[in-house]
Amino acid sequence: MRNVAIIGVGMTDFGRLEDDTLMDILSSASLHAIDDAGIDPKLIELVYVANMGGGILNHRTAIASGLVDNIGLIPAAADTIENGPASGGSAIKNGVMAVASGYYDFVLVVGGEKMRDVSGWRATDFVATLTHPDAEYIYGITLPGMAGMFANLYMEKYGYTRRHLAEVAIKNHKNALMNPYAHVQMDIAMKGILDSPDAAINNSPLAEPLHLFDSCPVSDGGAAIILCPEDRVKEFNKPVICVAGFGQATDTLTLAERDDPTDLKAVTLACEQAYKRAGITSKDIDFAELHDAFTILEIAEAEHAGLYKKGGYKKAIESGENKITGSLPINPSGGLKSRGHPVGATGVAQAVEVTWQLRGEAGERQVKNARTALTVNFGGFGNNVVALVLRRGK
Amino acid sequence: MKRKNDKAYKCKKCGRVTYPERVVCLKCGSREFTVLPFTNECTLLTFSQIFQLPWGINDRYLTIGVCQFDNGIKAMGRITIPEVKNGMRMKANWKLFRQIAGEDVWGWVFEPIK
Repeated sequence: MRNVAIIGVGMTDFGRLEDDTLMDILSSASLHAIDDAGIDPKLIELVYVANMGGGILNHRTAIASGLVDNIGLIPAAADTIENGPASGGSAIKNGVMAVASGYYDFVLVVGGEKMRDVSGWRATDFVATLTHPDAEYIYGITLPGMAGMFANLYMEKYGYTRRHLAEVAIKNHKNALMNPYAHVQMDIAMKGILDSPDAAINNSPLAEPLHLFDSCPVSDGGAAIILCPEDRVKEFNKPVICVAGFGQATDTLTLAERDDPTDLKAVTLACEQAYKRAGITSKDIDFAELHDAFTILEIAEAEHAGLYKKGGYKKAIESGENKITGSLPINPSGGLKSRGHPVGATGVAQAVEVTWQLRGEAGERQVKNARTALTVNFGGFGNNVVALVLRRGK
Repeated sequence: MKRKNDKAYKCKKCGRVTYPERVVCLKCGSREFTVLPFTNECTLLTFSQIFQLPWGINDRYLTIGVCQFDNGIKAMGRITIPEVKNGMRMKANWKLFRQIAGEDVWGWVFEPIK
């Protein structure tokens, strides 16, 4: 197996991209990554496109075929990867395996979603189609509803309060203020979302105990990376950023059937695999981009990834060690919570952010002395999870 | 459309309870099951009162939860009132509770036992 590196990264703005089609978004992110790498596009032999909703939301299928045509990459091999909100992580994993195996040298991985073409009502229904059709979806369950049921149990079991959740939201909003690509550019304070009579209006219930500011927005956006063998990075005048390890694990489709619904086993397994392949432990992680579609998930994933013991993330919240200036920054990009969550793009956007950070190109939100980072891309409600360890080379 | 949510199963080999239906036991890999009847009562494990609902549902909010039946089956369902707590005893009713694209949909509706 060969070591695999990232030589180019690119993103579109995340948010409401009214004038752009899904293909525009994927094309723009791809070209940004190609330009960043400075690669001759003719060298790209394989393209993976991560997308969840093209068929349902945009009436567009066979998206990878359309993309290589639009950006002039024919005759590169091209596949669309659909794995719910973990599509991006899955596409990267497949790209890494393609390069590591020696079958391909240069692979473009791009994720994108155009979710704001439809009403919030329709978008909520679209995402809910990833639940079990006969045992969950029929009841009108939503992903916020799943997260609400999970939070209900997790908060009770480990002693978290709505104040802890609000602190996560406030941190991630502040981080996103330093991220020009972020969807939500708004500073928030405890008074406005929890500690005043106005908070009941500003921060209305979404799926109890979760409120509006506990949730990510519905976003359009795209992100892309270019992978190659580590020994060819020197051809591109770029720092060596390696995908040192990946892991992926699944769990039962229904939340109800898990022995302990608060146990995100797939997160733990995926991270353990990624650490093992990278030859590290969770103690070696300098910062992480976690899949905080809901504030409770930043907490639970940090704990299930082994960065903290169960219930231990409270300490990070209370001490501020999870802030950009802290000892273990979590979601310096603003996370899904504020950078946004175009579902197919999210896993790729996490890798883009980590690459910028490891290169020292993250501007105001730069994490100091970052060398090794973790991403967790959480599909379904924790039933299909992809973790990556990225490391700055020598 | 045939919905596979009206029966629970017990693995003939290892006894693991499966709901909803699947073709292979997650614990032992067996493909042989017996039908396990639902009990009339269950215990509420968790719930959420959901305010932003998907397309096709016109309620202002819904309360949805997961209950454990007395023989171990766990299932999601709607809850009749929002004033509930984890651990409450519930009566389990199999009901027609909505239509999707003109099709009658049956499922679990849980009601607190007073």
